[in-house]
Amino acid sequence: MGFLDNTKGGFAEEMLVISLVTIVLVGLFIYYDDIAHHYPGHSVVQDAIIGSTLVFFLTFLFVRMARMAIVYRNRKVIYAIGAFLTMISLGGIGALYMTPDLDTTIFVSALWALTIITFLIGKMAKRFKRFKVDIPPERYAVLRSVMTKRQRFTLIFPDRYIKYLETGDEKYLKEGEKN
Amino acid sequence: MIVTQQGLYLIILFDILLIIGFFMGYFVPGARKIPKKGKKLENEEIEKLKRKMDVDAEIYVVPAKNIRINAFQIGAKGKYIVILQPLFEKLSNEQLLAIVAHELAHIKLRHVLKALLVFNIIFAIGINAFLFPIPDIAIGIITALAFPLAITLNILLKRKFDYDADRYAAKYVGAEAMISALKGIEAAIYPQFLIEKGKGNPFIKKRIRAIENGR
Repeated sequence: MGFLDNTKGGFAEEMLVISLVTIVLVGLFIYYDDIAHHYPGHSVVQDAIIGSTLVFFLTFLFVRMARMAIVYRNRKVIYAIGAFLTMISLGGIGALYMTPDLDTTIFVSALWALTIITFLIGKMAKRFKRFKVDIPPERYAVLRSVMTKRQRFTLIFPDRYIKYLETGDEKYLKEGEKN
Repeated sequence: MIVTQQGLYLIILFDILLIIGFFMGYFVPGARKIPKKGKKLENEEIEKLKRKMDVDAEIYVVPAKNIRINAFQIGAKGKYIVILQPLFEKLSNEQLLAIVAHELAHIKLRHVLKALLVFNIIFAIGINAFLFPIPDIAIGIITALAFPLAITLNILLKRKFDYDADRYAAKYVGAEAMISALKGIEAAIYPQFLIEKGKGNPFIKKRIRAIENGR
């Protein structure tokens, strides 16, 4: 068992991380826009609603992808996170070009650092036991047909499905098979 | 919104990158390296099919390391068709011919070009929205939605193109051969007990139904 794994605890951890990151980021966003700088025409409530919706969506996307990489033993998902971050970071260069101040420089540098770290994690993941096996995509297609909608959404499913992914042995897909 | 000179340069830069991306996606530099790893597939039936469908493409069977059950076209105007070895081994000659016909249909109907055009046009609208004389909120919505919309449409279009290619191929190899090929692919991927339970690939099932109904 581990962090963000395919258990109820993993799902709870995922929700907790998403909530915490959303609260912290929205707090920073409101502080920056409404309290520290007092930009005209901004309402705290409006910023909180728009900010939390956007941040929740983005955080959910990234944390869900990270959990998918863990539960499905697929390090390629880490590269997908890196690709998303690269796009956001490229947008950051645009923002830096338009507003070349210290705050933007720090923000964009942090984004690029995060992008590079993500790719490095993806590259080094093969050293970990969890990502040692290269799983053919067909096994995911097969597993998808066995999983219920609830299992696909919560990513809570029996360990035998992971064993199927790693070994390709069909017996792990049959109900009643011990883990 | 009034775009500053810096903003305008940035938009032009993104537009140039988009155009480069379009040509890279269409011509796929280095495409010829992939099929050359395998063996060229040549036989009289395939040559006859290519002539009948009026499509010129080279067909290769390529060994596969990870992705195994797949066939696809690659290169400008679909110059190469790649059939991965494990799929090649699991299909009968009739099924294989149907798969080749399906890929040739993609080339004939210019599906890669159409998908790339739709993706790039929507993306370009998102990038260039700042130049339109519309309210800021509209610009924000268009720009934010452009990329997810382009990806979603691309996925939906690819599905539609598969239906179209199946129907087009069925005209040349017959509906039964096309259905048999799709069933062959499903059997190559899914365990028999799941297919018997009706838990195979839902998209393949829809494609079979569409061919049966002549859609």
